[in-house]
Amino acid sequence: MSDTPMIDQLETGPWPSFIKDIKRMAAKNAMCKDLLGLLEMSYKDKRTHWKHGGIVGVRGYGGGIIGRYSDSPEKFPNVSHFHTVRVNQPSAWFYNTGALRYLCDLWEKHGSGLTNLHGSTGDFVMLGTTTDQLEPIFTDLSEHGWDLGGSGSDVRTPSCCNGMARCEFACYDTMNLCYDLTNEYQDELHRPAFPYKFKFKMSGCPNDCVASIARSDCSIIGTWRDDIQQDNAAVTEYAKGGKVDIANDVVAKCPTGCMSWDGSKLSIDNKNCNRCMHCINVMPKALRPGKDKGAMILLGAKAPIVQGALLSSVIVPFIKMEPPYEEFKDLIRRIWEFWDEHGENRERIGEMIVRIGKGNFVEEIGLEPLPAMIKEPRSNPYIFYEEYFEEE
Amino acid sequence: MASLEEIKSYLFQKVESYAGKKQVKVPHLTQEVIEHFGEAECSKKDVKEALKELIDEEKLVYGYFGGTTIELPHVEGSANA
Repeated sequence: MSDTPMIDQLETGPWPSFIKDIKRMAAKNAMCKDLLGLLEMSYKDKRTHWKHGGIVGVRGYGGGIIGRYSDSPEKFPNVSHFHTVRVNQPSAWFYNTGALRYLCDLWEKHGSGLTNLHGSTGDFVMLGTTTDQLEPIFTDLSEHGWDLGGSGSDVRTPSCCNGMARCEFACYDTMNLCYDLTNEYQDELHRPAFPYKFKFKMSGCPNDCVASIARSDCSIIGTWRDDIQQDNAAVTEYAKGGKVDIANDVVAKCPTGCMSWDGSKLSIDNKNCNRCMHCINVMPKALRPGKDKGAMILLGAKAPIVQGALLSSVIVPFIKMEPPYEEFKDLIRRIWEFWDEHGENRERIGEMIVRIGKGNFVEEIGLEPLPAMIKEPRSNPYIFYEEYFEEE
Repeated sequence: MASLEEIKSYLFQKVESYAGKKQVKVPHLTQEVIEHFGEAECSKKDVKEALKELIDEEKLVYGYFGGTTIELPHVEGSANA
């Protein structure tokens, strides 16, 4: 009988199993063999046998290493330490095979050989090493042009979609901004000093392929402020081709009802378009984002940890996103100053905005309130404007 | 203005006083140091610089317990086990 009957069952389902991968590595790595034993014990006892946190790290850095210790070192000595190393990924996760081989070889030499591509923050995640290996790993990475990512109460490793590298809809250069912010905020990334974590994610268009609106404290989503570019001849081709039913597949699904189709002409009331991208995605040859491109800044998304999940909401409806991004960085500086001053322990920026009220937050960071900042603009009638108040 | 060495010394004392009692975090420490010297004598930037030096000198280290903490260097019980 197998030593691990419970976790063996995880290999029987229709999906690829991480158990299979660990078993393959266990043939040549003792850490992986003990990892299977510890995992089996967790399934049997219905609780984790990992202890999380501690002071492990590399000299001068407060992020990038996540401490893991087992509570059963006598049974599984090879995973008594099983720290995670987060490596700052290249913008949009473009690697060449040489880079991937280097990272995998490094990890087989100094750790378990197990990796996780990619962690939810975006980092290249290396799973399982011991405290004494951390400095040699960091030195080797540094010598080869790599750096650690973020962890703890710091700026987490910025991540972005592949933007202009591969996508025709990108409204700004996400990869350039990601690289720029990573360099600009090195101190904030490596020396945690915030009330809690802060994540940047960059999407080139409102399709938001990196799901920044749900996964980052600061979402930077490409958009445009003029009209959708429309090629009427191409619209006609779509209509004649029969693959797209413009009335039902496009116009009827417009969330703001800003489009109409009379059987031969498509009309768009651009003032009421909320840039959902649906029509552009269905008819990419006929419709394209406008020419006056930039980005929308949203704040406040988070997954449920201390409090429940939040989605980002608009803080700046449109900003030109071009190097050196000074206007954006100045806004971030004001936001951080206020959060640093008023954020409570382990309070994300979105939670603070909910606690103090968005109106107060907007005022404190020096922005003018705008209708676009209203989280649900078409569903909340209770909006009051100060100029309508009668003076007593 | 308080000197960098004075700020470092007080910051270290504060972390030492919390050792074994409380997991102290950077915003809390920063506030305490500024309150001690007064805003006119010590800024957030000064505390940040002092902390950076203490970390680089390995007199203090970063830890993680539900957010990043500042601690005295020590060998963890878990690591000894």
